[in-house]
Amino acid sequence: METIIQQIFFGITVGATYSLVALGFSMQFRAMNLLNFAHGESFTMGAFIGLLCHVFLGLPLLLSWVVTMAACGIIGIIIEFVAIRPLYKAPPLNLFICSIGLAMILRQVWNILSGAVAYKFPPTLSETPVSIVGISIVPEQIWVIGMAVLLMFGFEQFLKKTRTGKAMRAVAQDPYTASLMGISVLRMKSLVYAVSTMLGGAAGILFAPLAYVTFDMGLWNGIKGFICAIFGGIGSIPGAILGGFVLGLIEQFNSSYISSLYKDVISFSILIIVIALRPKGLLIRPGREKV
Amino acid sequence: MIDERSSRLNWKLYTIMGVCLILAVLPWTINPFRIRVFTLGGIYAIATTGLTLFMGFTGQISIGQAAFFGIGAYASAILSKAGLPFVLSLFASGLITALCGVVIGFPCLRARIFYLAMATLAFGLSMTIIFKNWTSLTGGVSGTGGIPAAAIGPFLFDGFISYYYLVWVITGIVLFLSHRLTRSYFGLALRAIGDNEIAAESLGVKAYMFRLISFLICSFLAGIAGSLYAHLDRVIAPENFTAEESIIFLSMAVIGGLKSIYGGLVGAIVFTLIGEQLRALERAQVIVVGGLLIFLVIFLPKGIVSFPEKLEKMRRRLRGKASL
Repeated sequence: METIIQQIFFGITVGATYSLVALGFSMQFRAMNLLNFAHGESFTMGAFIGLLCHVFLGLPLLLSWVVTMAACGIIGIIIEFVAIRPLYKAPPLNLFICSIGLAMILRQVWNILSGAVAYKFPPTLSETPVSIVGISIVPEQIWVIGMAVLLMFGFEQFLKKTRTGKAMRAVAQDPYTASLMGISVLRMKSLVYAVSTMLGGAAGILFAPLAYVTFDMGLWNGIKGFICAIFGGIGSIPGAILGGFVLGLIEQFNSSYISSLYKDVISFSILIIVIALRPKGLLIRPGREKV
Repeated sequence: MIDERSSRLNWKLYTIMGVCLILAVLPWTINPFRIRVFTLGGIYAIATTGLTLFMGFTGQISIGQAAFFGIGAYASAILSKAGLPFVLSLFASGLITALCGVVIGFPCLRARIFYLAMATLAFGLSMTIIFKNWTSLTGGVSGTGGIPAAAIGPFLFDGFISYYYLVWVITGIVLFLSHRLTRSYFGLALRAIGDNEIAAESLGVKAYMFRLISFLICSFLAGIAGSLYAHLDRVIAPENFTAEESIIFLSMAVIGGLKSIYGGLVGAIVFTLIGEQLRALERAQVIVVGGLLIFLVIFLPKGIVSFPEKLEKMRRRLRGKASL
């Protein structure tokens, strides 16, 4: 029983970071019609900038968070302006290929800058387990889950309550009508890219202490974030969050009870089954396409 | 009108003859290492042509081509080591891969475009893990070696030059057959599905069935290419069949141009040439390739194949201005 609860905790911890990545994917897909292969790189970006600020420059944690998020946002805006913006009128496949090009460039930049060395990010809270009512819990996990939930909650409030958030949702729903209402669609799209890069970056710093910071960490985490977005149905924000936790739990139970070697194969097989049964995701009801 | 058409036909014939001539002379002018690279280009062209058939004509995305390429390579390696002649093992590995394609395509093809892309990517990633860990069959991380050289009857293709010719002849046959295929009822049906699936279905084209068959052909070609790859170095390892390789196949197909069956060939050749020219850049090479990918997608969205068309458009625009 105790081990199961610990497993669940670890699953949720990892799942929380997946959820943040999946949120960005979903946003970009809905608002920009972009399946962003380079989104996983924002995860690496967050981890590396966080590492640079916190470990190498010795900034306090809170300040490094602020700097990292800001840097991710700015880099996101630049990327959107240079590579994504010229392609809004092109077929979605071209946008997708463009994001593949971006991913190649970004990953290689991290590779060269980091010298392909794996770095250790110090944990924010302690990594030694604390026993609470007979269950040992690692404080670091509480920090990760807490921060992730806080970010998701803040993000949801931002979308619901603020003017900018409402404008973003309007663009996601119907860009043409939104533009008639005086919303600058292009500006909103670039903002969506910036915000989702910031969320990816935040996931990166959160995840960094759980494993080593390497230049290719974004590839797998990006793909997993994507799988989560699909579990819930791309474009659905609660779906992305749910998907993250579900995948985190599935992975954790797989690796402890079935096979740690083939844990990803099992997650991927589940993805294929989900896609086969519900081609548009778990939370979106399949409907007939209308002519 | 007729004149224009026949001149276009002539122009096409000259291009094809020119390309054949260059390819035929090429191995005598470069060193063996480069011959190997260009042989690899031919192998990639086969796999990419399959991808073009599937993606370009049905409008779907597949990011699992390297996994099929790998299945073909391993199948061929195992069969050849068991003593099967080269030609038989080539076809057998193609068929085995096509079978895998059907097994994967059957559930996955219910999903469209991006969902299909992710499903095939997931399949590709799973296959890499399986190639690495199913040691008894694949030889694990270090791969499997000792694959016998290709031989057809008494002819042994164990040199760089002879194997280069063998690969490019097979590439030529594949391209010719694919070209015929796109002109057939099957090709037209695929194109109709790609343009408007609902309209095609209302005309009695069973979209799912046709997609599945084109996925089968796509994986068959990947299997053949994989088999040729296995006989190239006679050693294969899982790192040759990763998701990154799948992405390279996809990029080749898109850069070459998806709407023409020759897009795969052009993409593969261009990628090979770029890889050759940029070898000196080492790690920065990937950055340049990525940048080029973005550049080409922005400025030549229909692929390099559409370059003459674009040139013609620009010339017309210039001429129009001049006459004003």
